[in-house]
Amino acid sequence: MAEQPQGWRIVVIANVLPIAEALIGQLGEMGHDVVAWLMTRRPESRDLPPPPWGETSDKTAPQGVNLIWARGKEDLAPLLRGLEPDVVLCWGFSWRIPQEALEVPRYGAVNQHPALLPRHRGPIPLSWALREGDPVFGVTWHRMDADFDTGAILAQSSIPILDEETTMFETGPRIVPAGLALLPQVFERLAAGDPGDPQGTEGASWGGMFGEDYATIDWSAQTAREIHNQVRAWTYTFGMGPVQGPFAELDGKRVKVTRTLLTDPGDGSPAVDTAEGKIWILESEPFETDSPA
Amino acid sequence: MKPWRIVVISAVLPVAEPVIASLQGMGHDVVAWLTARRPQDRDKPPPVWGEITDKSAPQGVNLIMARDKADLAGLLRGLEPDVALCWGFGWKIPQEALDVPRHGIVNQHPAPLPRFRGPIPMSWAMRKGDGEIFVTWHRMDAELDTGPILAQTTVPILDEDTTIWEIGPKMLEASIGLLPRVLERLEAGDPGDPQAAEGASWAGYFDEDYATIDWSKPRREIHNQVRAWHLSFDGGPVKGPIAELDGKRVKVTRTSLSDPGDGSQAVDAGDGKIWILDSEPA
Repeated sequence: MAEQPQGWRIVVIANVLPIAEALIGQLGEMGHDVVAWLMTRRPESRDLPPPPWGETSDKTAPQGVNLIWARGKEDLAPLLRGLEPDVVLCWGFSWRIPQEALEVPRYGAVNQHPALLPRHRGPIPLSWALREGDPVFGVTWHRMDADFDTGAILAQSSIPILDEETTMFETGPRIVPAGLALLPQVFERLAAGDPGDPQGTEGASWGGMFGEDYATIDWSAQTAREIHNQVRAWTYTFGMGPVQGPFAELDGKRVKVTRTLLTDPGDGSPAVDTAEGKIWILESEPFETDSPA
Repeated sequence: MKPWRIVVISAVLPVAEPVIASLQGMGHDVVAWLTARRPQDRDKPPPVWGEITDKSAPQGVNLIMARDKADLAGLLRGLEPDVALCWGFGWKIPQEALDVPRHGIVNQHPAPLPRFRGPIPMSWAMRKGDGEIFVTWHRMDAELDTGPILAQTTVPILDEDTTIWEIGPKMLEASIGLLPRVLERLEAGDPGDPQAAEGASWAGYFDEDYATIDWSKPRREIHNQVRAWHLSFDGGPVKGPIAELDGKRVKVTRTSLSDPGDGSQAVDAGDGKIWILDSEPA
């Protein structure tokens, strides 16, 4: 077994507080110095409500790290440079990081993409795993290059997709530890200068935001499992794409279905017959006629 | 002048906001607003202007919260600033960080330097009955508030200026008005005017000897004492000013030399009445 590096200066790049928290905590325990948590400024969300975990501030952010909100991609290299990082770890970040910034850390910049790369490259890999009926969610640490999710793989694992997981609040806490568990392997390979395993061309797929072709539920043509996956797939897009869904006819009304189960939760939730089996509707929202077509 | 890359260093949102806006208005690129992390405040209520977040901070700048003094040089270096402007920042900045910006770091200290160096210069101006507060931009060196002066002006303090909410905006306006002159001198490589060796004083936190109000003193002296303590923002170990009012010990926080006409209580001082606008149980 190769040697585990110690005392690296690490910059964590993430926009989601619960991910940054877990990652920074783990890196601290491994004996590294997380010199900064870097995230993006988001002028476009200025008038939006705070995320479920609240706004990130000095008080809510993990202690002992410099906090940096970058105003633009072209500022990433200068912001990183003075920190002289050994490695940059990225997890849940929306910007494509310029080559100039990727070249700053001594051992490279590594991204966690929740998919079995090269399958499900793109912005909503969990949603595509559900849409395709995959048995697992992937967890992949890969070197970052100039394209999205294409760099050489350093470590990979997966977790089974459970029928009963319906929101990110159930899936997140299972994916995060799986990602953290791979860090020792990632660091060993980085320390050894291992370039990583190039992604194969076979099985590569790019999953963009969902379109109209997946936005409607047809109770009589789809199986209960297909519909359950469709509902979850849309939930895991966090409403990011231009199209909203999935819509269905329920008791003569058009609704957006947001949470389903394949077994009776026993709380009086209505059941609907599908092409194959029953599905229980736990939550739905009225269809808004003024929503974008 | 050519647009500069400027870092603003401040812990105070209502200061950072107008300084950044003014520099942007002058055509400069404010590459970052740098402030300090404060783990010691973790369980305290937010400041009156709210927590600093992506949403509350001025747009168009990188926002940096430094964990420690030792990180400042590293955080500044990659930004390649032409100058950093500091105003209302609690840490003494290490020489290594002072050396990063091409034209150094310039600090705003609200005092007639070399008089009133230290943490509560405005309070000492009040205590001494100056009737005015200075604003001074000076080059930062390894000691506190000792570097050469680049620009200086005064803000008159009126009897009815009782809190930072009246005094602060005047100081901001005056200080921001000096910025073109400051940047001009920096660009010209002007080292600034060394502070006089004579007349230096230290504006340290107040002690017990100033913590009690003596109603037999002249009313203006008492009014200044109340304002002086207000402008110390409870930063020191001693709290004040404490007075006996209706047989109770109170901390007096706001007074007036004229009747506000709102039923506020008047107290007879040595040479006339003083009105108590706000007080807290001591």
